[in-house]
Amino acid sequence: MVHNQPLVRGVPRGSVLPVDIGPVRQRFTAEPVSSPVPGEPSAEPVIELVRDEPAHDAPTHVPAEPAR
Amino acid sequence: MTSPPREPRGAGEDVLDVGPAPDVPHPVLGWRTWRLGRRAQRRTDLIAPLAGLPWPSRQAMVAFCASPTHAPPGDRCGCGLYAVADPGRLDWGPSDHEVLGVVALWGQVVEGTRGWRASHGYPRFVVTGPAIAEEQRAALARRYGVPVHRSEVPPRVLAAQLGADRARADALRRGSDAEVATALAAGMPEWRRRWSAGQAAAETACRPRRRGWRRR
Repeated sequence: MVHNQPLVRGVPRGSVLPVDIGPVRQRFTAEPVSSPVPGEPSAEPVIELVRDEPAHDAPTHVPAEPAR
Repeated sequence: MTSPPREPRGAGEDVLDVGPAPDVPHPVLGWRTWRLGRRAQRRTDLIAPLAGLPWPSRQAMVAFCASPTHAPPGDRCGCGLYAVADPGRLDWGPSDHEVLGVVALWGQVVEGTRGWRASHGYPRFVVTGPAIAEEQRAALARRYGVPVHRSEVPPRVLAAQLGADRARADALRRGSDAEVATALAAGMPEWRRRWSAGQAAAETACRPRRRGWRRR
């Protein structure tokens, strides 16, 4: 298969492609949770712990003020 | 990890509108080839066989396209980092320093019926032929931080045999480091026997017939 489109840097037009991947089926974004590059930090999801108990020093019920 | 920029979609752009893109939290794994450098300074370089560019170690290879209309991989362009599902479909050059391997692709990915092109990639593991010395394999593994295995048959022969055994090829492609090492060690006697048998058959076919001397 001979290509006439720019491929990668340094590849002249008209050169032979390494392999034919066939007609395009779909396009998507792959963002690995753990990096495929050794030594790179993983993009671990950040989990925030949310406390659902009311704080002891905070009032849980505020009485309504009497209407004047 | 490098987070690739989202490809803008605009009028007249070289990108097909394929609807909402499904995001996957893992890389795509596919087969591809590299070439090892022959010079002393490049003996631990994994070189893209067509472009002649060395893949960087310990950082992602990022695809480049000269077209100003899109970032790699374009849908109607051939740009991007290549890999295929069937190792039997790989093309091989004349160099005996070409190696077989599995690459992790991520970022923007275009999936074809036989393989993928992507914006980012890094080797997952490499299989060299018997001509590559142990020291060179070890140096390659240290530099890239990935397993480098030795095949007792040339990588192109191994790729062809794996192409005829897709279940085993897929298990290798998706396996863990330990599973890949075990599967390669288990399959190597069979691959070597088949290769030797094929070579013997080829030699028999090419042997010239003995013709008796005949006086004219």
